[in-house]
This record gives sequence, C-alpha cells and structure tokens, in this order.
Amino acid sequence: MSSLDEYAEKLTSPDETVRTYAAEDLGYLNVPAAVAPLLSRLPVETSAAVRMAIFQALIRIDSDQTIAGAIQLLSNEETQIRNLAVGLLQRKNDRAIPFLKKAMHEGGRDTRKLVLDALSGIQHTSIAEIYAAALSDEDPNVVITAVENLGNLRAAQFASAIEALLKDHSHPMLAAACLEALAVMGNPSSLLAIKRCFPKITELPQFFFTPCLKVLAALGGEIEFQELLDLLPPTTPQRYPAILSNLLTLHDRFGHQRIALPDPNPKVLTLLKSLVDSNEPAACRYLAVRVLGFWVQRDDVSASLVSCLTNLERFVRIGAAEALRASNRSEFDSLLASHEAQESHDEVHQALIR
Amino acid sequence: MAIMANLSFDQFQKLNQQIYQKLGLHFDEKKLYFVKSRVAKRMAALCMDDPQDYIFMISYADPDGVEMQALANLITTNETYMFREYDQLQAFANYCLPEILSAKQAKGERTLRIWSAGCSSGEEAYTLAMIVQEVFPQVQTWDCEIWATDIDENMLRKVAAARYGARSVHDVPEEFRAKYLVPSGEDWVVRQRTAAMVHVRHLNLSDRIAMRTMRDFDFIFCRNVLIYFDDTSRKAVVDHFYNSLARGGYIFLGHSESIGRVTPAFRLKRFDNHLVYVKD
Amino acid sequence: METKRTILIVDDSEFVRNYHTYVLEQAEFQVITAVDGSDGLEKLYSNRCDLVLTDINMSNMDGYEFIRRVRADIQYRALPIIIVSTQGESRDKAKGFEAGATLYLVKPCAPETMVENVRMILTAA
Repeated sequence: MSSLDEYAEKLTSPDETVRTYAAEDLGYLNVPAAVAPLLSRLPVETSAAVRMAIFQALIRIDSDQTIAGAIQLLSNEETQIRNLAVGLLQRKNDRAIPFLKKAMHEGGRDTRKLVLDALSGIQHTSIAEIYAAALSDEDPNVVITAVENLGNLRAAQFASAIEALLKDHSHPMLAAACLEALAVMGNPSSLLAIKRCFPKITELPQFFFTPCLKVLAALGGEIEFQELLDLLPPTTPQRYPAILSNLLTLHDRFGHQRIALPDPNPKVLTLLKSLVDSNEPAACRYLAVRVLGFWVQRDDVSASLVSCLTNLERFVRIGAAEALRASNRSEFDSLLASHEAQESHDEVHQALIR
Repeated sequence: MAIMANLSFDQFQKLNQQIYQKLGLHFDEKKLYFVKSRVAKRMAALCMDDPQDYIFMISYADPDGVEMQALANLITTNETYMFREYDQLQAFANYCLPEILSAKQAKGERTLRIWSAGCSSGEEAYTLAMIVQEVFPQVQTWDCEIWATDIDENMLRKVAAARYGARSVHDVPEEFRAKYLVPSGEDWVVRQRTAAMVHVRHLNLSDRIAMRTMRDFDFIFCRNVLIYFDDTSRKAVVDHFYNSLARGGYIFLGHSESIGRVTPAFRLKRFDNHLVYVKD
Repeated sequence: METKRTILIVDDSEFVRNYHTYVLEQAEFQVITAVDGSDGLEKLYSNRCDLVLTDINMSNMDGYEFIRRVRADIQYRALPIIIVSTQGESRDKAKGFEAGATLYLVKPCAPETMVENVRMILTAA
C-alpha cells in the first residue's frame, strides 16, 4: 500500500488522533492526489480538531486543486468549514485570485461577501476589477466589505468612487465605512467631498461624527485644527476622547513644521485642565495633558504640566513628561531629571529620561 | 528626546489587534507606553516617521511575518527564572493540579505526567516539581514524570545539572527554598528527591514525528516559546500539544499568549481570576 | 449615578467593531470588543458584560460555536446574546436560536433598531 493510500485509509479511523496525524501526513506528502481524500473527508468529519488539521494539510499542498476545492466550500452548510475555506484562500494569496474572480462573478451574495473576506489583505493589481464590481454590487454588505478592504489597503485609486458612494448615505453603515476608508486613503480631495456631505459636524450622530474627525485629522491642516478645537467646550464629555485624539494626530502629522497654533480659547484651556484632574478614564486624561502641551510655551500651561508630573494617575505623568520633552526647552531638563530620580513606575520613568 | 512613537490610542488598538491575530499576544491599555517605545525602536530601525505607515506595513505588507517577529522579539523577554509568572502557577497549584489528582484518585490511577516544552535551562521544570511535591507530598508513591524538553543540547546539560545562580532563584518563596533547594557556594542546587522527578529529553517542537511520541500528558507548559514561531509552525505545534494531552489535561502558554487565538480546540475555563485552557 | 451597562461586541471586522461601538456609546453603553469567538470568550470571562453582540462568520471560532460555548457555562445561561450577521436566511436564524441566541439582527442594521433592541433585551433580562 502506498503512503498516500495508507494515510487516506487512516483518515477514516475511529481514533481522532490517528485521523489528525493522517491529515497532517497527507499535507506533508504535498502531492495533488492527496487533495481528494482530504476534501471528501470534510463533510463527514465531526471533530473540529481534525477538520482544522485537514485544512492545514490543504494549505501545505501546492496545488490549484486545493483552491478549487476551497471555492466550492464557500457555499458549504457549515459555518466552520466556510470560514476555514476563507482562511485557506487567504493563505494561497495571488494564486487564488483567478478563482476568486470567477466566484465573485458567479456566486450568490453570501459567496461574494466571503470572496471579499478571502481577498482582504491581498494586494495585487488584478484585483482592482473585482473591487470595481464589488463597489456597485446590489448587496450593501458586499459594498461595505469592499470599502473596508480598500481602506485597509490604502487603495487611493478608489477614493473618487468611494466619495461618490458617500453622497448616498441612505445606509449609515455604508457612509461610515466610506468615511473611515477615505481617512486612511489620504486623498486630499476627499476632505472637500466630505465637508460637502457633512457641513455641520456637531450635529452628527456618533457613528458619523467620529469617522469625520478622523478625516479632518488625516487630511486637514490649520483650518481643520481650529475646527476640532472649537468642538471642545460645547460638546458632550462622551466626545472628548475622539476630539482630543484627533487633535493630537493632526498636530503630530506636521512633525517639526508645527501648525501655527491659534491663541488658545480660555474655555478650552480651562476644560483641558479640568479634564486632567477629572474622573474620566486615564486614556482621556492623558490626551487632555498632551493637547494642553501644545501651548507649553505659555507660562500658565507649563506650570500646569509641571504640576501634572506628580499626579497620582501615571498616564497623566507620562503625558506631562512627553509634553514637556516635546517643548525642547532646556529649563525643563533638570526638573525632569529630578522627577526621574523619584519616579517608581517604569513607564513614567522612561518618559522622563532623555 | 526620549524615544517614543506618537501612537494614538486608536493606532495602539489596531496594532494590538494585529499582534493578537498574528502572534496570539494580548496587551491591554496599561501596556500602551511599553508598546509605544518598542514600536519607536522598530520605526527608527526602518527609518519610518509615521506610526500609521508602520501599522499599515505590519498589517498588510509583511507577508512572511518578518517585521512582526522583529517586534515580537522586542516586546517579549527571554528571561527565565523559577516561579516566573506566578499567577499562572497559582492556578496550576490551587485548582488544576488538585482537580487532576482528585480525578485520578477516583479512578484508582497513580500517574502524573507534565511536560515543560522548550524548557531552556530548566527553571520551569524544577518549579513545577517543587509545586507538585508541595501540593501533593504523596507524589513520591506515584509514577510522576516531568519532562523537560528543548532543542538546545547546551540548555539540556544545564537542566541535568540542576544548579542555579541567584538570578534564577530570586523569586522562589523562602519556604520553598528551604525545602527544595540546597545552597552550594554562590549557587543553589535542586534537592535530589525533587530533581529526580525531572527527565530531560532533546526535542525539536517542529519535528512532527518526535512530537507524536509525547503522549498522555496531564499538563503541558510552553510559556513564551511559541511567539518565536511563524503562524503555520505555531499552529502545528499547538495541534500536536492537543494530541499529546490526555482528556481533561491543561495547557499553559505565557500569560500574554492566547492559545484560543491559535486554535479553538481547547476549552476556556475560569477559576476565580485565572483563565486556563483544557482539552475536553 | 447609574452604572453604565457593558456590551461585548464580537466581530472580525475592525470597521464593524468601530461602527457598532460608536452607535452604542452614543446610547450611553460601555463597550468592549473582541476579534473572534476565542477572543470573545476571554473578554467575557475577564469582564462583567451585560449583553453580547456577535457576528457569525469569523475565522478561528465562528459565532455559533462561540454562543454554544457561552451557553455551556452555567453562569451565562441567561446572558443576552444578539447575533448581528450579514446572513439573513431563515435557516441561519434557526441555527442561531438553536445555538442559544436571544435575538437575530441582519446587517446592515439601522442604528436606532440596534439600540432599541439592545434596550428592550436588557430591560427584559
């Protein structure tokens, strides 16, 4: 009996471990003939561990038959098998593309969605065609998945198509997906398109508000910086983390070419200082300190930051150390050094040292 | 200026998710600064300024996981010493071990098999031996084996010698030190009665034929080892661990490592604040 | 002050996790997220959650298996679990209820529908 036959027979053993090893051995044989016994075992295999071993084996076998088999399994009744098939297709990378294209063209909406799941993470010029079709699919879930994938891939060549989708925000989930994708694609023209669709940010529900802020932070400049600042005082506390986080992102994007900071609105400074000592989560307090640090050149702000170095919350101390360091003012060096000597928490310590 | 990446919380979340999905490692918000400083080192090495670019690269342009591995090497520590990751050992000592022992006694069985996989210089194996003897002094009348395996022959020689310096024993509770270790010059030697429980074997975790010979274990410890494997190899090793465990057996990876991310074959169980994985 | 209820969102899509987080946080819920069923179980066991929203098609551990394992733990027999899935056929819903789901919503779900259903389930629980 050949090894192949022996392992194929062991795939039917009553012992789960024997079946697992048989699947593994078939995978290591790495011959096209091993594909059929593995695929035919799947419908009757009840052990999840053995199923996974079968898929690992199929991933190992260097044959297009595994891809064709996985495509068939995309419409299997069992969720675990469908998901394992998606995983296998992802592992086959570019080789799976022609098969996925065909499945996209011929499959029902559930299959089309799974095809896009399989494509997520694959970068290849030939998949542009698949995405172009997916963006005008009749099923909103297919479109949303396509938009998400394209955002993850930073496929800026699709920015205009996604901007066009944004205009129709009858599906809020689709519109939100478009905003998130455009924020990472980095296409400057998207900023104008988004402002036209959403002229009044403050009135937006959270699922549009937060993605819009991401866009402002990713694509905006001094004007958008001021817009973000202006959102602060009148807004609900729930929105502080999103606003502060995006202010920081926008500010840091410009690196050493600092944004020409507007004179701070006293209400903003008061709010930031009160947030630092509030009961808001540590992450929010950290962000407040960092944003306060934009104006570290002001004596009142630098005094606040210095007092933050002894705050009980370590994230506040970290934020203060970072903000004071970023000022590049030598008069803070000895101060930071003296705090370093007294600081017991390792992470704060690291923030304090040069 | 202190080295740090300007990683926003959103970016930290995204990176966390990638690290979890690709390495099975958990980092929560408390570790933000820790991760930030490691990311900054990698960005400096790659001459990248924007954390967004780094996250994109590691998520979608790192097909062989080379960069993810480089980051993993920075965010994990290689250090080994006795009673490392005490929380997990508490779960083992206070819950899992008593449960297994009771079940065996009920069935009239008197065997206990434990595997310290990727044992390095053996501190873990001897720690487990000490704990077993402490929790179950009658283990001397049982057939108890603790297998310490590693790919590195030099390390295995150290395990066999059972002699450790101060760094290795600094976390051993005083009462354990008195009972199970003997001072020898500046070192400490594991007492013979305890050391005799530990058996040494050369084993490559990626050698599937050798791995199949490891059967019927009640506990497998493989802590802070699998992070150095690529995705496929890690899955293969964990699948072997599943088959090496007896039903009801427990597997322990490092406290930041999630076995659930590698395979859903094991069942998650909770004892008080401890989460452990068991083979049903 | 009333403590906010905590909702665990289990979905392998980062966008979907973000989107549902925004919707639920606006409705004054606290949100924890997980990337698949395994992660969902760990998060559930490590946090106090009042309700779970889960997708079905996820790699590693799918939604049905996640729900079955949650329900297998006596502590979570009554935990409200809402499936939020792109699959909307009646056989998918039947499977979901068979696994132990409390409610089944089809994506894309209008924000107000999601919030209404979450509130309704929590009130009944």
